[in-house]
Amino acid sequence: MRKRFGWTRKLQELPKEKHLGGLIPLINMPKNGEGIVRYIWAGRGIINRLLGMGIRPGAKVKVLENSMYGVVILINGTKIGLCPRLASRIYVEQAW
Amino acid sequence: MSRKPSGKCSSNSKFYLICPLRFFRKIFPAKPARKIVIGVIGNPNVGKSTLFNELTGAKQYVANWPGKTVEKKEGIRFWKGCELHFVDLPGTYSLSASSLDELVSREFILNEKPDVIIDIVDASNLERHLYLFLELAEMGARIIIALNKIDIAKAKGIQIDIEKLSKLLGTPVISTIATKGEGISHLCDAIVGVALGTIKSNPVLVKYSKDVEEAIRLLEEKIKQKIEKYPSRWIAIRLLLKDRDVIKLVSKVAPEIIKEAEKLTYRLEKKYGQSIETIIAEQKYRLIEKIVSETVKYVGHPILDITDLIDTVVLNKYLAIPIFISILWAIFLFTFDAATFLVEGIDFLFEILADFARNNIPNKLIASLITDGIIAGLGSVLVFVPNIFFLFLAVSFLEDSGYFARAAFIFDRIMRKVGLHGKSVIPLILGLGCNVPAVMATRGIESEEDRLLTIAVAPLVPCSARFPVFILLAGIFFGKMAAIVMLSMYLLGFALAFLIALIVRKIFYKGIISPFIIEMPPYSKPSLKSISLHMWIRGSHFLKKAGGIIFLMSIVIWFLASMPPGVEFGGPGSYAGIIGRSLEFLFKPLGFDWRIVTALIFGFVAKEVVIDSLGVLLGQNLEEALPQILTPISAYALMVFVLIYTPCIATIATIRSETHSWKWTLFVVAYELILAYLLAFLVVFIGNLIF
Amino acid sequence: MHQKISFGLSITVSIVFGLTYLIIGCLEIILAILGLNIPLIPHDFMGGFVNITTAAIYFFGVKELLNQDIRGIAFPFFGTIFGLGFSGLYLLIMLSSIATKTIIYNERLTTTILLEEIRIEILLLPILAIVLLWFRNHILRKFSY
Repeated sequence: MRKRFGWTRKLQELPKEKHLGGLIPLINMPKNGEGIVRYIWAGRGIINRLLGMGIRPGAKVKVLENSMYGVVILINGTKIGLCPRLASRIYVEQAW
Repeated sequence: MSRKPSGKCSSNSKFYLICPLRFFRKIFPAKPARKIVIGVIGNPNVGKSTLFNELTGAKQYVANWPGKTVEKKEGIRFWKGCELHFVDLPGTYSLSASSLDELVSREFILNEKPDVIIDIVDASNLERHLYLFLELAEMGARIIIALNKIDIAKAKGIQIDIEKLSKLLGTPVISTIATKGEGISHLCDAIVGVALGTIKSNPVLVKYSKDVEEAIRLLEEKIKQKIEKYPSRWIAIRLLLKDRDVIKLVSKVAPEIIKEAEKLTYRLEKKYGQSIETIIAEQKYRLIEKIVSETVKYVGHPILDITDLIDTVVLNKYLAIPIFISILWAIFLFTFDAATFLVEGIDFLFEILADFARNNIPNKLIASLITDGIIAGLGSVLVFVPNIFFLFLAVSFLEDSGYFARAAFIFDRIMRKVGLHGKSVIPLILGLGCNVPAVMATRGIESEEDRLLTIAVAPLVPCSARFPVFILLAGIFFGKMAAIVMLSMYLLGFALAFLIALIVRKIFYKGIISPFIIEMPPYSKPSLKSISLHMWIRGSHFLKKAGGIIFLMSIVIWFLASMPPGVEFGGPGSYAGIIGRSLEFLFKPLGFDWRIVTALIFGFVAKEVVIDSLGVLLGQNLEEALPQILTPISAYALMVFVLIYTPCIATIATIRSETHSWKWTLFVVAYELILAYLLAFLVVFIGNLIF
Repeated sequence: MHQKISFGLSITVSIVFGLTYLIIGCLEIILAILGLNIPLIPHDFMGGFVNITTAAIYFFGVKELLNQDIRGIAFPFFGTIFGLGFSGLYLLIMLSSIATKTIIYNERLTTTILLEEIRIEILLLPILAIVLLWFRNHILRKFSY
């Protein structure tokens, strides 16, 4: 028998090369770098919050600050601060 | 756009015209004013509270949502013969019910079925704000959009075709500038129109992709037969999204639907290779993108944006923390130094008052009650009122300016190391003023664990009530070193808060600290009206709670110190003396005399009462009396004890009401008492070894 | 052309203010450690810290502006606001303290009291205000459209 939400977890823990080819986590983006969010690897509660704030696959982001304090991104004209842990789980396709 | 939005003035005058009408209708209830219930909703930082204030004026009342710690604000306005009853819903980004705020809003919309929902949308950020709108639309609400901050959007070079937007969204869209009160009367007209059915509001529904729509249709058919109370399309979508509360609701009536939904969700997730939340949200955003691209034009925007400029500096790797410390220091200067004049003035007035009472009241007992009890007690509290108000003024200023979001961001990393959350910073800073608002401010923390932990350590932050105790003892016993001794108290308070947080986190909550996301609103010049209102709400809360308790306590202390009749005032034979002496043995190791023990017991009520009751028990001249019963070491131990031991009654009550748990409240009180005793003992022990 | 003038002037302003704040800040800390009293410069450890922070903000601006990045203007701009804020605060404290002495304790307002209360940051207030206005009118407006 399949565990109740087992498959969801499996899906979320899939950041393998194949799945994320060419994508880099937000935390590795340079300051002032721009890109498009492609994949978010987080639990349901956080996903819902991120989606509500406009951080969703397909959204354009710009990294305003990237320091030891965390990452500040600009998305749809809103500034959002993320802790490094979360920023390393949001994968973007970098646009040059 | 030909109609000019009338300002606040005209709408108010209408309100007064209708006032007698209201009175008339109260007498003849046969023809009551039509009551229209309106929910006001919007993302955080959209200017919701400002708009709400403009809509309702001073006719507001604040309560909590039944059984929840979320504040419920309601207000009334009369408009064109209707009674508009506004309910302020908590600011949320979505209605997925992943937090208490979202749950409250959702339950209100579904169960109370308000006549109209006003969705406040930020004109310069349509894309994100329309997400909430689409969720509301799915819930079958009748919506009016208040397009707020239209002036800021214009300044940013954003042009919005309001008529087209209204057509595409299927709801009335009213442009407003809440800070100037513009567009309010239009909004009220629209509310009445929508409620009476003269204006149509059929919010647009998202058309998802084929397979999602198919899944929704399948579920919807089954749900329709079983559940009538809620919109079936919404239930179907929430079931696909594995919404816990909706699953609970449906499983009571039709458990087989849930299995079906699970299967459908699984198929969708597999097909798209993404979680269901993302799939649904993406398709919602696709519609939003389409609407925005058709209605919004960007004319260009400035290269140098003030918010960006300030953030470059404030969030700079090296400068961030020195700037934060400097700002904290500025708050201190403002609170304690800039308020000197008022503090001294109040002190002076109370002295005159006490002299006057002493010389003019013939009955000795009553004179003593009034001067030694009431005036001394009230005076000891009222002297801090300027400090507290100044502190809240400074804090409200920083809060409204938008700096606090940055402070939380900067400190997240450091706070995480001690097991707290970035958003714990704000309650801890507020705690410097008074622990009551500090505990209340933890509402901003989403995760329950992080919140409880912050509440547990917040009372360790030395509040302004402990300040007079420190300054008195430090001044008497340490002379030139006083400033350093004072500083050591503040450092010790924060160090202990972090240490306890670390220990409690290790013992109780082994999980990971919840991730940190915060919106950084653009910096804005806080309006005087708004910060003074904030200051007043926070300050008067303190005044009412503490003032009432301390006033009563002053009388109680006076009674205990002067009864039974004939005993020396504050002497060992008085009730106060008896209480103190019976517990003296416990505090012998710390070098505390029975009078200090009595003062500490009274200090349970409020920490400043310690000084008050010491004054009563030792006679007015504390500078001479205290050195006779305390050594500098035991004085320092006393300061440490007062710093830590038990939150005051007001704080305990707040902790209880905020946590809904006696267990947690008792835990906080107990650990603080034990910690205070141990540390004070340590101070005495080590002090005696060295000196 | 405009840009060059703006850059040059901004850098000069940053260096001048940076050095001024650095010197005042260091003096305040040294005096605090020695426990000395001289007019205009109080012995104030935290005040010194704040001034050195202000100086650091200006110096960071010099670094960025020398890279020909107009966004470096952020540092002197914020530094000026920051300094102005503290100057205003010190002015407020001075007024409050003088009011306490004269109104409540009935002392007479003499130059000695004034000298005791005034501190050098208050004297910088008008200069900072002028600089802030210049930044706002000549630089922020130029680069906004």
